[in-house]
Amino acid sequence: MKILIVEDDFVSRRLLQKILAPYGECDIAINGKEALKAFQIAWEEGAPYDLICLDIMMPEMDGQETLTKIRELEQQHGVDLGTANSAKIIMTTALADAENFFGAFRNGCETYIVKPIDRQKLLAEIEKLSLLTPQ
Amino acid sequence: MSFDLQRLLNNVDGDEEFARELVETFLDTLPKSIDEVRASVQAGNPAQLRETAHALKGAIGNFDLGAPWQAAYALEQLGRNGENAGGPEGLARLETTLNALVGEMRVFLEKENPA
Repeated sequence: MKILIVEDDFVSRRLLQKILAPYGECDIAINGKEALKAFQIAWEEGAPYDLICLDIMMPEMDGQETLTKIRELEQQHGVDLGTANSAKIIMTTALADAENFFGAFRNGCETYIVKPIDRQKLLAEIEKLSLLTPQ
Repeated sequence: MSFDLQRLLNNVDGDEEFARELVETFLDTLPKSIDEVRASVQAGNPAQLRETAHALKGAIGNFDLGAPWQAAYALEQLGRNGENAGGPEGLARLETTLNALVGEMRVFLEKENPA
């Protein structure tokens, strides 16, 4: 599994990496702009991400805008949401308000997890997405 | 007790060395994070307060969901609601509760790393 962790907080980033590293190769982006760049490069290299953990409130570009742009890029590559080649996106955010929650699903996320990060909860959600295979 | 070591250890699959590294990183970055929240309060800038308090709340949440997390959340909500009143009191509460958390973290670090 190829994973992109998008998170501006260093500790949360390290924690997510620690949790997810046994299950795949983890790349890191510290804001939405970096995430989009990583996403585009991965497509150009023919190795797109299987899973993206995406924070919402970040500098430069927030997670909602990033999510929208990722889904637009997938559409441009002929990949429809929910199909096998579409990245599974889990929002990992401390924002628990309805506007962000429903907005994220409208923008095309698969799962929305409210922080603090909980290893078991995160892995359970990834398992539901049929992505959990230890390396 | 504020510092939730057990939850942290569960999250890192029992790797105490890694847990210590996370705590040390948090303590290293905490003064700058508090400075940013303080500057937002002093500037009377709710949007900035929302962002800085949210960021600090996220970092605290990896270790604690008690009083410091609640204090950061309250400041974030002030910012979200576009309010300035209550900022200094909220900041004082944040600093006081964080002092307690930091103290507990230092005890943990000393236990793990006896001099």
